[in-house]
Amino acid sequence: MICIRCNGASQYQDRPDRRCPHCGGEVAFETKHGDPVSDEFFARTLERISSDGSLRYCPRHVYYDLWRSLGKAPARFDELWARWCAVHGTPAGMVTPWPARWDADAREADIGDYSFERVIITDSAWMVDFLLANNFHFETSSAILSIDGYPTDRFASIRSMLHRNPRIIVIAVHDASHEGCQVAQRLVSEDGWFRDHGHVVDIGLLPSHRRTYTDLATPRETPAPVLGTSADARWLSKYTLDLAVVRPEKIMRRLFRATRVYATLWSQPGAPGEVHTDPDLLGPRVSRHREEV
Amino acid sequence: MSGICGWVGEADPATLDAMLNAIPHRGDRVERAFPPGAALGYRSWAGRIGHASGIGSQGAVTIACAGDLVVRGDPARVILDALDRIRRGEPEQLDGSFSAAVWDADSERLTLVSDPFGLRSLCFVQHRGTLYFASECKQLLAIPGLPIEIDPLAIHGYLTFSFVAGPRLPIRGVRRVQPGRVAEFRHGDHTERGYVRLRESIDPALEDDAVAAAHVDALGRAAVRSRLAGEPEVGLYLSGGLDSSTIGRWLLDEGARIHALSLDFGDFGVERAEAELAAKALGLSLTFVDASAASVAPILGALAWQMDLPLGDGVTGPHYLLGRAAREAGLTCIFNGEGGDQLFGGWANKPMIVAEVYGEPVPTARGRAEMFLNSYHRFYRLEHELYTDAFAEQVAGGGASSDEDERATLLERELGSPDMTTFMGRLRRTDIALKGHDNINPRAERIAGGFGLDVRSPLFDRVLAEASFTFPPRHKLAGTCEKAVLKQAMSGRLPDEIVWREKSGMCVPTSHWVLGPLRDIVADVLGPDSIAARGLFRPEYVTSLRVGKDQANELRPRRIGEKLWALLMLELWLRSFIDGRGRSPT
Repeated sequence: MICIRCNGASQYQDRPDRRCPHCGGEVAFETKHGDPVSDEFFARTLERISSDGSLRYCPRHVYYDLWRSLGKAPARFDELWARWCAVHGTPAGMVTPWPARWDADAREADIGDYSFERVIITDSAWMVDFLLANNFHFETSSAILSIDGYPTDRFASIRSMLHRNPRIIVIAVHDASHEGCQVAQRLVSEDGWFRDHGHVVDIGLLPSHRRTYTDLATPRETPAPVLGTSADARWLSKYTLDLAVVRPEKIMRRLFRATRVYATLWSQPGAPGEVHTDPDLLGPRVSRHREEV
Repeated sequence: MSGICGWVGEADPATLDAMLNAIPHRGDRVERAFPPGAALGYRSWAGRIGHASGIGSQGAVTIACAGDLVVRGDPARVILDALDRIRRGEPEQLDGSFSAAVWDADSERLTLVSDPFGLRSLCFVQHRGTLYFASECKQLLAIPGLPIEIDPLAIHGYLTFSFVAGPRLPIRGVRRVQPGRVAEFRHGDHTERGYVRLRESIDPALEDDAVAAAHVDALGRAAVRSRLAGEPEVGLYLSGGLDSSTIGRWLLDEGARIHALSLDFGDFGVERAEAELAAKALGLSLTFVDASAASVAPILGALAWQMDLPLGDGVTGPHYLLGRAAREAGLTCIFNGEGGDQLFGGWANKPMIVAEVYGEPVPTARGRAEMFLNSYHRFYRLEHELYTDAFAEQVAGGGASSDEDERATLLERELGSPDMTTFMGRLRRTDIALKGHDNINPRAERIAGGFGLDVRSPLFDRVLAEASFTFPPRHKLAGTCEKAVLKQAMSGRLPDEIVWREKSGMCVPTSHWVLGPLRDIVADVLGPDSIAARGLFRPEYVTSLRVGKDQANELRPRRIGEKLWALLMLELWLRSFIDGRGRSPT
């Protein structure tokens, strides 16, 4: 083993107390004790998932990256994560919940009169936190909300501002799951969202993305109703593909791309109430040139 | 065009010539005056139409004034009257593109005044007991024996904003009079007071869309009218956007003959068709100026020198090419549409609105200032990546700890102003005071002035700017519709495609240039040896930028190109002004 603190090499028998014989630092994982990875392996995973420290990430990103490396779902991941944090400290790059408190009355009244070029709507709070932690909102002048009301204290104020832009671009991004795949339809049919204005784009994940992110789907605990007759519909009733299977750098790059492709000058928006589905945006690699104009 | 300089105290009279000779681009004739205790110099072009400024005297008072005032009459008299009023706390109407120095030999008081929005600058420095002042820094660097070294805090500010912000300039000891302020020096005391006060007071009558649009139209036309001096032909930088097209409309309304110039970015152009459309609608002949990398490459050194201060926005190269083309076309003055975003609420407000709704539970001016600092997209919070330990220490030694961060303080003062009542008002006031005063206006004047041109920016008109704070905020940003009242005013008077098009901004292909055709120049100027020799930055970080990589969740080449351009212009400026004492690279 190579110690991630001092780079010193040691054999298993040299560390009976789970401590590096060179620096005395505690070791989080011992493969001889059944841990699936070493500290060094785990540290490399964190580096990779954060694109060498440039992006924030959630533990679930780490989970799927380990899955890809190991070729199977890492067993007892929550326990591994907790042990890593206890021994090495919570990684600086880990996304933490966005500060909840927000007082609408504490600011100038005109704020509520403005709107956003676009909004990203997710089916999970963690994705909202991930995008905010990586400053996506500020970099692209986008609102970011979950369909179920996160971030809580700010939700009503921000959602009402969405209605001040009749041509707002709405990008739905979600799990390939029975629930996630209904987000876009909910946005064009439920009260308070985009029944009568805006342009909704569903970028997935979609059931078809199981072919891009192979072998990372999870069986559902209880099957969902089969909505339709297609193979995709049958798959959705049985499986879920977590949005976190898309690596942080890839999802950021693809969402930056979405803000360019689906900009205010977008030439083919559908009518209000329609959903435009884009199965390619989170699909396999697009050319570097197209991605980075 | 035109420039002034001088001193209070003792100096060799030959120094006045040295200071005047440092700005040959500002004219072919000079005036000098040596009243008791002071010296004043003036340089200008002979034969220009308009109110002649220059050096005048009235009893014991001698005044040197550069530039144009929008108030008709003898500039010296107008300024002296206005200064009297300012001292008495009475209203005055000083406006235009000017700076002036007034020496009162009886009371031994020097007064320096700069125009409301920073088109003209006036910088000053104390050296061996004498106070020197000048229109351009390069004039101060002509003072024999003046020690020249960088001011680390000013450079630190530049690396955040991409321009030098506030009174501190990047040469140690050199300061400038801030726009809209009067500085007085007497027996070693230095006092300043502002004469322009932007105060938000929403006028209920302007709730009506049509009334508001008509009001903007009338004020805008008046701003253009007051900037026409009877020239047979004026230049106009026509981008094809709303602002410059609007100035074209108002110029035509006032009967001006216009020579329009626009930039041709080749394959990277996004507004060429709009510029053609605007020109056609206004009946103007349009000259396209080649703004390719090949055109920009040979001018970089001259550009850095001409701008006088480091200005790191990618538009400066293309603006230089426009200025050169205007001079070659025989023009003496050039109009632009600068200021539309600052006055009427442009795109730059949008990230700040997003930041606000995701920001602190209860907003503070400090928190907003820190967010605003992020919006400049240079090296804020990347200091650890960029700065060498030695430079970081110099910056910290100058008082840049987080509590007294001058950068945040500059913004905090504007964002927290008690004169503002709306969030939009706070953002606009800040944008005027930072980007307007210290970036847009000085760069427009310095680049145009370098070609002997007078620059006219009617949207930075004092009456119009003051009035812009009486419009309800929804006339600026209506949902996400920018500059709503200006669009309303121009609706039907310019093509719909110009008025209602979503703004794309001037998309200067900076990243393509510095990572592509200009990469050899960048490698030469910002190569490891050059960076190490300068000692300010970590060569490995600059090298990573040069190959298109950056730190801290920056995945987009555009931001990397902006950063490289800012470093490129800074190094070229350092070579010209610190290493070369302000001498022209040519």
